[in-house]
Amino acid sequence: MTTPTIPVPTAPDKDAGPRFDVAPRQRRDVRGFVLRFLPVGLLIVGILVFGSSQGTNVKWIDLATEALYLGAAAVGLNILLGYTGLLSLGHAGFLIAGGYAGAVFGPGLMQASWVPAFVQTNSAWFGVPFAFVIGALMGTVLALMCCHLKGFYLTVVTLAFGVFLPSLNEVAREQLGGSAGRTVEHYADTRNAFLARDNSRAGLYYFAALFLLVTIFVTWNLTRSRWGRAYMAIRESELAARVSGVNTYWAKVSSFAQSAGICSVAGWVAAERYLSVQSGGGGDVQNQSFRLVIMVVVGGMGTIAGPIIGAFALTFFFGLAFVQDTFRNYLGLVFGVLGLVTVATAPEGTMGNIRKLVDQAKLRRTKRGEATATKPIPSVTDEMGEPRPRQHDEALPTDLPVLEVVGLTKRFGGLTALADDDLTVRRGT
Amino acid sequence: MNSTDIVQVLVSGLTVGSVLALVALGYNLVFSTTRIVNFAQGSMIVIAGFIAFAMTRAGIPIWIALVLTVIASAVVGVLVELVAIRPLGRFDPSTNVAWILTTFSVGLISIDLIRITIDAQPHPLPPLLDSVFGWTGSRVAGVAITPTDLLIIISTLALMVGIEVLQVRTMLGKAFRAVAQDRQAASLMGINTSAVVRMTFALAGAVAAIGAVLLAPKLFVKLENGLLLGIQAFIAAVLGGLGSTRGAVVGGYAIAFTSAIVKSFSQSSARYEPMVIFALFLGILVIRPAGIFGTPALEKV
Amino acid sequence: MNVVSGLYEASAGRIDVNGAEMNELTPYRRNRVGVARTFQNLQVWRRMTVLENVLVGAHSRSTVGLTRSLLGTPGSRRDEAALQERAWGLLHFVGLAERGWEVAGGLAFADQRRLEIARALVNDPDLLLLDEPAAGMHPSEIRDLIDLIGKVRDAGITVLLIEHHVELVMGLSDRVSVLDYGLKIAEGTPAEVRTDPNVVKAYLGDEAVS
Repeated sequence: MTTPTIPVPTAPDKDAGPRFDVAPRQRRDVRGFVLRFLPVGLLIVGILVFGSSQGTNVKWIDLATEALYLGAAAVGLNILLGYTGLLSLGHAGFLIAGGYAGAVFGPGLMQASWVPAFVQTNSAWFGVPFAFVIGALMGTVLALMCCHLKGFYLTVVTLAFGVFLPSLNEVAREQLGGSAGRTVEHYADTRNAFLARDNSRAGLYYFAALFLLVTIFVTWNLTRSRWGRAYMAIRESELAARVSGVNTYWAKVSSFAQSAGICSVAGWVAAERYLSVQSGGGGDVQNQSFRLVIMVVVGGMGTIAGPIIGAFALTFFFGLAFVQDTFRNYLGLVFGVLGLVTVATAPEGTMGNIRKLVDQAKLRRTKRGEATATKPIPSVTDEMGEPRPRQHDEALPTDLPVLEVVGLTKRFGGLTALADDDLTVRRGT
Repeated sequence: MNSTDIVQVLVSGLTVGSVLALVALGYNLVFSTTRIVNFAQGSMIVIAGFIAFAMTRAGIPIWIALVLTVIASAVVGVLVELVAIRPLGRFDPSTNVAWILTTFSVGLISIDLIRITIDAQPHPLPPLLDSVFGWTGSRVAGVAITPTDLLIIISTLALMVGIEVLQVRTMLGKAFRAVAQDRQAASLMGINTSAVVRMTFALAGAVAAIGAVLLAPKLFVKLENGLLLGIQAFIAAVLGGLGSTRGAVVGGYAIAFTSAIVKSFSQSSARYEPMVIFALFLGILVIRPAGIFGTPALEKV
Repeated sequence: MNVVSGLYEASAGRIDVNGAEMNELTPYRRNRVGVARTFQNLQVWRRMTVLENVLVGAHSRSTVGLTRSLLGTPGSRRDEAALQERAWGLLHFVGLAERGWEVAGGLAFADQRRLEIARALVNDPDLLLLDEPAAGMHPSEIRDLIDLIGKVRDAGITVLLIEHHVELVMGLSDRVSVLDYGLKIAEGTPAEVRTDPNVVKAYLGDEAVS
């Protein structure tokens, strides 16, 4: 979970008051280090091997691209679903939005007359930042309007978002191409000789792989930062998070925005993969979002590897099944059954079960008296273990009460819990 | 606005609103007892529609088919509860949202099963009423009104009143509310809570069957009704306040009238209609997070 | 207590901390002003580790923004290390360091309560609100708890505790207020309150200020 070693702080903590002594540097845990980075290493090796051996096989490379961007989208969705504990059934909307944003603003805007000639480009790659920014913005706006809601009401708003989103297509028919959707410029169609060099499908594949790795890196950092922990605290008990100094509303909005941004870039890759983007009809967004959620749930919520495993497994499974096109009719059936079975029997998903097995193995070894590797408990200086009252910038008068309650009354309906009570608490008592 | 527009807004607002309300009542029944939303409700309407279609095709008169469909659909409701809710065991629906996924799953599975085993074509059902005292429909200021429209409006209001009476006046209704407030306490008081939950799902199935047969002359029996109609009606239920029966009806009318008014402005204004409804929906949830008639739960510390 | 920590809105009246009114502040702002609390019915984050629980309590000590956290800049890592050091320190203080890597939901009831206290202390509060800290605990656990609260008080942190357990209240408090059905019926030192006729008569709900 968290880093087992306490790194040596190189700068004094500015606002914490007294400086703390340098903690003894812990011996590097080689085995833990290898185990931690092994999955990512394997993933990178797998991507390179697959890319070099299948780079010219359009069918396989396209399928792999799909698995990679869906994996990234699932990791993004997992920030919201697995860590913050908010269920969105409208995230496929962000994939669509990202595809459109990249297509409309990227090459389009970069060729506008006011852009200096030497910057002008028709390269579709410039759609990527637009997809991210616009997707994250849409996510923020949606989140601002629904993150005050309790429990599943948030899910309701995301459902409604999916119903409403395709109508944007009718409003801006010229730019978005109506219900038929619009085509997307091929990423290799550019005047820039360097970018146009690689016009095989493998280029997109490697970009999708890079994007997935970036997503993993960012999520990894997130879960080991104060923000990721705040998200998890909201998932477990929002009440306690609020009194612990977490601005839960902003935390939820930021989590929403991140997952929307990541999904939007995945949507840009999806648009490049199919070279077109359309918004789908009524219910399509919900259906796709549901499938994305099931990928996360099957793989394991609240883990990094889980969503990737889920996305890879399901994409490749359907890739094989699509040999016969009739299988497309069974999408809802298969995902529905998967959802039912996973939620009812293994709510922690594949990763959760793997973790359980590892824990059980550890327990058995401990029972047999074999030593199991445990993380070291860092020792700290006594000073760090002392509770400290708040240091104030200006000295407060000593007779100022810490807490003064005047005439406090609290009623619950007809019941008066507190009636006009006063309470004064002096400092240091 | 000329008189055609006004009549058009009135007629379409009332009929579409009733359609949404009729479906929304099913959501409400389940929510008011269990605090969960049965996302398979839309699919239950499709299932009921196909059952009724199979019966009428076999030559059974529509009124008898309606009664049989209500019974069959109640069984479907119980099945949905058995598959989607029962395996979850005891849980707090406000914090653990697994039920969203299971009910959604059941909805998708049943739609696909129908697609695979029967077909994906829209099917007509004969109207319940061809004529009222010889009246077979007329045009008011160029807007068509049929007995089916009238029947939908009247039966929605009748169902609303019926459900309200059931919830407020009967012992069963008291059991519903007791289970909704505190399932554990209710079971200590000698209420068979799982039977009550099963009962609400059966009732929701019955309401879905009535809705399916009533709406078929207008909307046909088709797979697409499941998700889209389901979600629209669900939005209406949330807008009005989940758990409140009259809220469902008010929510349905609010959405239908807004949509009809926006559409009546000009030829091109129809494309803005979904956005206006979405804005209305968000706006109301900002002001009243539990919907118009909903009562927000007090946080216990 | 719920009104002071901001979870409930006051129907009337004023609440000042350090002389500044904070009726309008949201709960998380009150925490940043220096009000921390624990819960009667435990609210630890059960699926997070013990260490992570304390680290969330220190959320507002760090000013590292989201972008820097996501990119894992050296500054954010330094900040994180400082937070972790402080968190480990408080885990040692409440005696939970040995279990720092474990999942909080696996802790015993009394340990979860200690964890809540550590979580509340990590942000250096001026005022620590303890909501029935002894509820559901064994006598020996209560004695340990009294020691712990005593150490917190000696460190200069003001402690406001609501408690029915008379031994704990009388042993720790400097001042005691007694509430009976929402009305204050007595206030004073433990010795004064103990002999107050109103208290002896009501002897139902009591609130203590230490």
